[in-house]
Amino acid sequence: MNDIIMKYMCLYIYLLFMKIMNIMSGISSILAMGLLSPVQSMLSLMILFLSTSFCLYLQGFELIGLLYMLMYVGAIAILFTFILSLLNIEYLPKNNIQSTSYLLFIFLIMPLDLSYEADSLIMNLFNINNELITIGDLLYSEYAIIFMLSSIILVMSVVGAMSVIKC
Amino acid sequence: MLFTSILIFLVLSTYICHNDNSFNRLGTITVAFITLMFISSLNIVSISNGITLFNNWFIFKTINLPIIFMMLLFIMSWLTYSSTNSISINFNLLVLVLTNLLGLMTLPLVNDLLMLYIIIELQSYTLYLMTGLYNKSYNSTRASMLYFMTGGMASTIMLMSMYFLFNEYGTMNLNEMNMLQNYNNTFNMTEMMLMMGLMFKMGMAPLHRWSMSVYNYAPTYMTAYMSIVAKLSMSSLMFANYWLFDNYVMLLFMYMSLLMGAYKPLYQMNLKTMLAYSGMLNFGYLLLSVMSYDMSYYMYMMQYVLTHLLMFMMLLSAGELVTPVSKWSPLLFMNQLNMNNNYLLMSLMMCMFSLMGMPPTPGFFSKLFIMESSLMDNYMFEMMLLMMCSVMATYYYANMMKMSMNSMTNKEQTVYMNSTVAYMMSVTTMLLLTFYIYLPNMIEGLMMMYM
Repeated sequence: MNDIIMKYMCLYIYLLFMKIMNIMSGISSILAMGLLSPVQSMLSLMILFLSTSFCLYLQGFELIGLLYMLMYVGAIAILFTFILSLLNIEYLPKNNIQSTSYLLFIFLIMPLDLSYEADSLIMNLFNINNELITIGDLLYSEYAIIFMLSSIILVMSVVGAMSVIKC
Repeated sequence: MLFTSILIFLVLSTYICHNDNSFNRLGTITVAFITLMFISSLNIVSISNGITLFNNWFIFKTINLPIIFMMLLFIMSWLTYSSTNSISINFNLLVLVLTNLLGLMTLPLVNDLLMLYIIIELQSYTLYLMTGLYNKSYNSTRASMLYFMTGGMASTIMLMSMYFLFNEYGTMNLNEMNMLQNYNNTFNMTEMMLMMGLMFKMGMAPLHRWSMSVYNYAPTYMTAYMSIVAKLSMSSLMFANYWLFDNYVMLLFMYMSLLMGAYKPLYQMNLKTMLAYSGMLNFGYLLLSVMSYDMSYYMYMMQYVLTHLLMFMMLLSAGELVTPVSKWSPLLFMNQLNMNNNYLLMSLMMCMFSLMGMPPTPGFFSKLFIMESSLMDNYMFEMMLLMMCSVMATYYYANMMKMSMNSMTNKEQTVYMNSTVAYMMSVTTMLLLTFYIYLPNMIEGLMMMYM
């Protein structure tokens, strides 16, 4: 009896947490676009990444959830925050119309409901146990050429940074 | 081959410091070598059914071969100018050009949506970087930033369309989608979004405002490259996967490009903007041949690459003759066409005649074949519109010729041009003038390519 109650409570907390994270990610994504100061929108972006990472981890995608936290927050968001805090960007509103009203108008037209019925040949995903091994296997065998091409793109980013800035 | 050459150049550029541009000649030789390997490894009959490369990510059919070959030749000729003294030195040009070439050459070959996205990003990023390569010029940095913004937006649209396409077909593989499309009766909004992203990147009307600014702000040397090279590879992708795209939406882009490209430059004084609009107009003609899936596509591409190369080489080499507007785009305005060298002006006039569609020049023959093929597919109004817009475009080409006629009264001066550039220009002019001689032989060979 107690086990059933415990399981029910766990499931309830799990679902509640998922819903909270989902809502938080939606709100923080809107905030990231709508807030005026860049450092504030970077903060909301970090909240977005964290909540998405929690959602992913809870659904069983452990590797990608942790990678989200590691790469997005740990590298990219930190870099952006530091650069933005050093730059002197004017963020006070200039005109009478609030910029958030533009944003809400754009949201009315955007197709946010991406869940259509899938009436085609899509397989179901079964339980994923060894995500890291599978991804590693695929990256080096089936997706090998994409891996190499993405590496060329990344090398270009380094070369590009050098060539565009150096005088 | 390209992979190794990229790596070699990357490593070399860090170790060797060059104070002049002689390094770029190596690049020309490399591209020539790649072209040779490409030609020698072809066996048209054996690849006519298509070879899939690298686990179904690429498909190597004969449809794309002429375009790839033309791209290689164009880049080879364009790189010959980079070793002259009038271009400021930048060591990273070659690495970026070679990487861009990798992206351009593999874009028509893609067989998968994921690969399409990655190759488009590879090609686009290097193109953005090349636009801002000459960073001493403020305008070129502006151009690069603007190009990056709009190109990123277009890539986002394409990514979203890939989500919808996967939802509909269950596979990312273009070949399988082709087969599945015969059994499906779905609304083609998804492919329309993909095509809109591609058209945005190409700079077709009505999404062309960014391209006018970018081509204007970038240095003339970079405009010569990027205004044609991206369009070539993307239109080749659309030609190879013609079953994926809806004819009616392509018609929209064709109408708008023709009308904008014929009307807008009539009030322009800026040579680069006029040439950018004329490029849009010409690619509007090309969309008609893509829609009727005909060999006239190859012919139009051949003569357009020749014409474009010659025009921009003339613009670049005339920079030493006139009082330059700026260091990066010396010949910018139409009233500067009053120069002392009549032979340069004659080659420009040959290009103008070709773009107008005058009979002995190649432009006439390609337009003739486009009109013939579109008549066979019942695109009557589109053909009439092509004719009318071509006549309207004659106005501004003729205006350029009239401006250059002011130089007939100048005294002839001997100007010493760089001999490599002079050689390339003379070869290109000769190819342009004698196009009708080798055209029938080309047609016989091209017939096999798209069947």
